[in-house]
Amino acid sequence: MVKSKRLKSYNLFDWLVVAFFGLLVIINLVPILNVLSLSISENGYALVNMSMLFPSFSHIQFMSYVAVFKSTAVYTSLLVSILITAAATVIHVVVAILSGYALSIKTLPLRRTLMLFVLITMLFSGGLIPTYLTICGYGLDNTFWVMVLPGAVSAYSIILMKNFILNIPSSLMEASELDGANPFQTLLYLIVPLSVPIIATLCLFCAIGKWNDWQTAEVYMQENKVWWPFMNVLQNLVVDTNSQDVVGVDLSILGEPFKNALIVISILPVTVMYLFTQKFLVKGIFLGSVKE
Amino acid sequence: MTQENISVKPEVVMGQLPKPEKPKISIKDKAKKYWPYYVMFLPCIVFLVLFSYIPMGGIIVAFKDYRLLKGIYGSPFIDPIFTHFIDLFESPNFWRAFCNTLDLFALRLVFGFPYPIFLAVLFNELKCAKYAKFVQTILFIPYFISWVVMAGMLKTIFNLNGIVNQLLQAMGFAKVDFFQTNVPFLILTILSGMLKDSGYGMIIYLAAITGIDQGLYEAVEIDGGNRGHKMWHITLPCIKSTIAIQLILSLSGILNGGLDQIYNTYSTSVYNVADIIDTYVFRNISEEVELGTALGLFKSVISLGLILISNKIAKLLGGEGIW
Repeated sequence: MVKSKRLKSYNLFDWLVVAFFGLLVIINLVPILNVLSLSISENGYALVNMSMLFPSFSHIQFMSYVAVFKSTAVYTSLLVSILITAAATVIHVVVAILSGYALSIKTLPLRRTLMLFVLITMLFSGGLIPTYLTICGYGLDNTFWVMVLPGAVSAYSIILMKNFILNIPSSLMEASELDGANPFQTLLYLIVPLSVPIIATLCLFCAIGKWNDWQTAEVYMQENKVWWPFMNVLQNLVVDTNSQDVVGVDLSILGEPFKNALIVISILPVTVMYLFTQKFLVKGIFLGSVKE
Repeated sequence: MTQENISVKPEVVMGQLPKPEKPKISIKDKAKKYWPYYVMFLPCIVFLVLFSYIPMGGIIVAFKDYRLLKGIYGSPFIDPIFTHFIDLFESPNFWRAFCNTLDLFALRLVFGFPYPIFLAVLFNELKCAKYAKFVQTILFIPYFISWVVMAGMLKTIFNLNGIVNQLLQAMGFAKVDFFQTNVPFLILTILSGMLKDSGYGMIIYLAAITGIDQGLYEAVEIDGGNRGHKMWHITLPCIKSTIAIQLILSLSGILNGGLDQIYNTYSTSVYNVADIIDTYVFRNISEEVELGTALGLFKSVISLGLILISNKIAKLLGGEGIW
């Protein structure tokens, strides 16, 4: 009863807004449905019906997914991607918490200098080629660590973290100081538990950024393709259609479904991570971006 | 001489009391109190120096005759010193990339920038909280999907036999090869960019909208205003400063054409509109080291200048800057 009353209060404008967003949702879902149904269809059927949104029951197969996990190149690259994502996210978040907390201490001598030190890296960078030359100079090129270390610390995250901590009532910190906690204890037992929304947000953005990163390996891993992350294998197969020899799978039998299965697999972890951290997301983005 | 005499001890002249001296804490005490915070900051220094500041030093390559064996600092300076920049500004490929980057930025500014604002204002009018939550969840998903995957999906959907072309055909239009023709490629680029990033932009504006004092809306109601009035006279002016900050942030990216997006979707046949500075440098990373560095420096300096200027303007206009 209540519901129908509320619906009655909708005027034309309300319905138009509802319809508009409905249309946007459909536009967002169509590509995903398309890819999903292509990935479980037979190759011949998929090639003829590129535009299908729902698979036909008589032409369903799941061999493409089996083939994906049978291909050594694909599953090693998945493992590499998971390792990179985990390592980089841990470094990223730990450094952001530590330095964000240090910068949030208003009485810290040299605080403005340290802020500037962080801020400059946000405003100015060496550019692609000088960075490339320097990192090759460290001997990091064609190693696993080149995909973890260089982008692991971001000025933006540090500043978000600092702003978030500044919003925590300072009386709490004073109380913990009075109780005899040293800065490390205050950080671990007070700041970290109170900063869960921003930490979750930073984890999400870093993890997804690393999972989606293909540039680093494209630039630095040209001579070590065994350690290629998943995105680069995918790019080689799906986007750069000239080179299809990387994965060692005969694409003439499973071509389209195989490619689309790869796409589905790449979207899946991202979506799951997003759905899990979603409730923190708005809070994290919003509170972190408020200036002191 | 006379001036010096006048300026002696201004506080006495002005008749003010000398400032009370702060209780002095010796450096030793400060060090004792604050050393843990510096320890905490140390990893950040190590990372930023190694991977941000030292590469900045590498910019010097733009002024050098780079030899692989001698490295960045061992290579001799080139004579005259601006040779690489002159080469760059005389290269037609550079100007093509430069103009394409600016064109893309202008298109994104006109269509892509207002879009999330428009979405957020409309989204605020959704009455059913569950539906709103659902819409927001779905709209945010593309933001997290990489351009590699997006490119893969776009190539399926905008394929000559894909959904879009079949729809076009059903409506009586000719098929369009979106990846091989200039204007359709630009349309596709702008639209897919809007689709991908609107979810994030919308959250930022929505956060600002939820901070608006509800009393303002009631005031409009009392004055007999309708919902259009509320949106135009309350919602939009109240998120003005957020819009300004977002505008400044986007200005600093004027020369960032979006390497991820373009590199994964373009092809040689659309280079005339799609080859941007980033893709140009990326393709020639190992062949034209000095030229690419010069181009990178040019880009960084312009971006830095723009962000400093626009931040200043935002502050002069009475809004909040970024810092």
